[in-house]
Formats: sequence, C-alpha cells, structure tokens
Amino acid sequence: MIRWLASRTTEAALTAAVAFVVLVILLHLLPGDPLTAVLRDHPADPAVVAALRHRWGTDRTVWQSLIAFGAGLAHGDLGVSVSEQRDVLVVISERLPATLLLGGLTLLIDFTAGLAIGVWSALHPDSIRARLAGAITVVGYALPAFVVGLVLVWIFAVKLGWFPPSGASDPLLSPGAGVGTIVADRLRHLALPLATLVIATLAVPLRQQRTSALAAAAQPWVLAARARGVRPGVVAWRHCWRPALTPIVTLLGLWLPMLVAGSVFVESVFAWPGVGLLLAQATAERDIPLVMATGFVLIVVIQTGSVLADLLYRVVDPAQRPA
Amino acid sequence: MTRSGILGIALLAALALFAVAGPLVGPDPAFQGDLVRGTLLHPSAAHWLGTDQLARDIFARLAGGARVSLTIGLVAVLVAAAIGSMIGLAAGSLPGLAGRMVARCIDLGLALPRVVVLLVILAGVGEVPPLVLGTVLGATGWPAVARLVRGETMRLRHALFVGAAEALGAPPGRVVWREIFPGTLPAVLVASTLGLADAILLEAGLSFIGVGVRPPAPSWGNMIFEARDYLASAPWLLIAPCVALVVATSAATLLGDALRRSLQPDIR
Repeated sequence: MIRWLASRTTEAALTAAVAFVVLVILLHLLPGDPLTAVLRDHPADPAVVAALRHRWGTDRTVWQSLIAFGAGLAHGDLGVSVSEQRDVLVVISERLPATLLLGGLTLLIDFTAGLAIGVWSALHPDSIRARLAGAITVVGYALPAFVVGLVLVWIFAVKLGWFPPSGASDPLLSPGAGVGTIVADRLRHLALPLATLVIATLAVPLRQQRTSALAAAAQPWVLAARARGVRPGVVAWRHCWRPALTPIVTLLGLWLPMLVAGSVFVESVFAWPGVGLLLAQATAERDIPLVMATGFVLIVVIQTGSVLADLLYRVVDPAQRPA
Repeated sequence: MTRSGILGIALLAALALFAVAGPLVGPDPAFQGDLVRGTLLHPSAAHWLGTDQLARDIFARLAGGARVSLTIGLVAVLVAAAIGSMIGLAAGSLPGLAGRMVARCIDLGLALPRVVVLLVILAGVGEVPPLVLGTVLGATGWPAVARLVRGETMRLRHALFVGAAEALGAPPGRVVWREIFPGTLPAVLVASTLGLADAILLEAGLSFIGVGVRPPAPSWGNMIFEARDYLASAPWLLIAPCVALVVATSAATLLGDALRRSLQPDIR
C-alpha cells in the first residue's frame, strides 16, 4: 500500500509538473504582457519599458521564468503580482480560503445529497419521484453555473431581497460587530453562490449514483434480502448503497476539474473573492506571475484530488486490496 | 431511438432552423432603434422578445446568437473528435513504448484544466472570429475523446474479426484503419453529442466573462452578461438567452443519452 502510494504520488507530481510546463510555455508563446495591456498605443520611453519589464520579470524566456518559479517555490517567493503590486503568495493565500470554503461545502452537499437521492430513486425506479429525479439530472446537466447564479440573484436578491447579490461580506459592517453578526453576514453572502454551485454540479454524482445503484438493486442478493424480510432501509443501506459506492469514488477524481471550472464562472457572477475570479482577472490583465502561480495551485489541487480518489477507491473496493 | 432521443433531435433541428431562418425573418441584429424611446421595451407584437439597453431587437439577437453559438459548438466538437480519434487510435494501436508515450500525452492533456488553458489562450490572443474560437475549444477538448477511443481500440484489438484480418495478412495500417477505426465511431458519436452541450456551455461561459465572443457580435453568453445590469428593470433580457442556452444543451444531452443507449447497449 505504501509503495503503491509512493509511486502513484510520484506519477501525479510528474504529471502536474509537465502540465505546468505546458501551461507556462503557452503563456509565453502568446503575445502581450501587462505593459502592452496598459500602454496600448501610448508612446513610452523604451528604456523605462525595458526596466519595468525586467523588474516584473516579464522579459524572461520560458526557461528563465520556470527556473525562477522553481527556485521561488523552494523559498516561498513567487514574485510580485503586476496588477496588484503585491506578493503573489499573499494575494493567493487571501483568495484560497473563500474558494476552499465554497468548493468544500459543495463537495459535501453534492456527495451526500447526490448519494441519498440516487440510491432512493434507484430503489423505486417507477415512482413519479424517481422520474422527477431523472428529469432533474438532465436539466441539471444542461444548466450552466452562471445561468443558475443569475436566475437565483434575480429571484432571491433583486425580487425578494433575502440575500445580497454579490461579495463575501458586507463592507459597511462596523468593525466592532459581534461574532454572531459577522457569522450571520458571512452565511447570508454564502447562500446564493453555494446554492448555485450545488445546483450546477449535483446532477453528475446523482446520475452516476443512480445508474450504479440501479445496477446494484437488480442483483439477486437484494431480492434475497427482501424475501428474507430485511427492512427496506437496511436493504438500501447495506445491500444497494455499499456496492454502488465504488464508481462514485472514481467520479470524485474527475469531478474536481469540474468544480474548478464551475468556480471560475460562479465566482465571476457573485464577485466571490476566490481563486477562480482571481484567475479570470489575472489572465485579463496578462499578470503573468499571478497566472503562473494560480495555474500551479489549480493543477496541484486537481492532481492531489485524483491521488486521493485512487486511494479511496482502494479502500472501498476490496478487490483492489492486496491479498 | 427512444422518445427522449427524438425530442432531442427535434429541439436541435428547431434551433438550427431558428439559427438559419431567424435572421431572415426578424430585423437586423445590429440595427439600433430609437435610443430615446426604444430601449428596454417589453415584449410586444413589434418586438417579440422586447428590446435591450441599446434598443436592439432581442429576437434578432437571439437568432444571431444561435448562429454563433451553434457554429462554435459544432466546430469545437468536430475538431475535438478528429484530433481525439487520431491520438486515441495511435495510443491504442502503436506497439510498445510509442503507444505508451502517446497514452501519457493523453493523461497530460487531461491533467491540464480546460478552463485555465482557455482563459490563458483567449486572454492572450484577444478577439477572434467564431470559427477560430470553435477550433480553440475543440483543440482543448480532445483528451476526453482520445481516452475513450484508446479504450475502444484496445478492446477491439482482441476482437475475432481483427484477428481474422491479421491472419489473412492485412498490414497493420490497414487493420487499424479498416477494421478498428470504424468500430470506435459509435463511441465517438456519443461523446461528441454530449460534448456539443459542453462546448456550447463553455462558449457561453467564456463570452459571459468577456473572453469569448465579444460585443457587439451577439452570443447567448454575452447577452446574458449584458442582461445582468438590468435584472431589476428588464428581466426578459436575461430570460430569453438563458432559455435558448438550456434548450440547446438539454437537447444535446438527451440525444447523446439516447444514442448511447441504442449504439452501446452493453456499456452503461
């Protein structure tokens, strides 16, 4: 197990490294740096431009900036964001908690609710409610996150005024407010982005779980358990849910990239101060140091998720364990 | 074909008709009406879906957007299927190290988050025509197709008819091209139909954050973006492109599911 984990981790690290190199090459192949974005057609002293390029490190070749990034990674200095004029690491560490909070809660809700509804609808395949769950998966599959987000903003923020339309906290909240007020404010801001991301992503685990639970429910041992008079709840939990768990774990690894994509769009709708919005802003500003660091974080997160999913897969699937 | 598959085909055909005929029936999407009295009009007989903040007819823009969005989606899917099939076939049929190297390239492609790559490319190159945008979308969507085709190729390599062709002395290239490749097509067709929904969504999302189709050209995504400033006063600006987008992607998903069921009954 340890040996397997070590080789799998090495493989993931290599994949992440090569993927990152490809991304950086792409970034350097394309025209434009922060200065061209700012200067456009305005005349500027070439000496000043060259000095600024050198200071911000945008005059580096692909290999120079990769080496600088690697060296910076070793001692925790990834350079200065050009658009923010602050340390890249500081900018990212400010944004990461918001994304992890939103993504983590979405993951939790998706997989618990998705599993429960999936198994439940598979046990009653002909009921109207199960058909409804099927219809929801088709529409949920087709609903893009930003459409869900805007419709929710329109209903719950503009029409009803229950939740704020954007941001992660109220900037007018007095600094001396009690903990309860602050928490309530944060929760109110979290509600719409979280609902959006859940609605936009729930269909995938739900659908997967439905198919695998349907297959499990058709197995002879389920019929045997029912014939023995095992209570329906126990049949669902012990005989259908457990064997249907394996495919869903595989899904976990594929699902993280989807969450990354979703968070870029959802964070843009709600001005949620996370990494997805940061990436969109950084690419628009051609902020090369910031794009490199953000891309690196996302690639590492996705590879870590894929290793964890494989690990979990070996835990839940007895056939994968060494004898 | 199931009923839901037929519904999918019908909806896609209706959208295609809308994209082709809509701009011929309705007014010019770029036509700007009376800026004093013509902006943000409710849906009416003169403007079936109302007008936007620049007094442009929303029905016309929706049809123009259908042309753009469907074209981009189709191009993206075709490009992804072509590249993905070639690479997947190579990974599955090349012997030894070469095959493993190509398979590694597919893993690498899958490890690169598509949205990150697209943001980097599109922010770098700036405004591009729809056909180029579709090609870029397709060029980032091939790894999923390639993985699928590789799996199918490895499965078919052990099929009896492939062994028979080899026994009759067919050269390896002919075996791959004439015996294995046609067998992978059903899987590619299913993946491409489902991929059409993804590509349309991705184009809309990218246009929504301002790096896809850029104004004044209409796209469902940038219409939704422009609508967000008028949520309180003119919600019909939001509803029309959202409905079009969801209909298009639902139709592609329904059709893809139905094709999967009828073409690959043995694979869930």
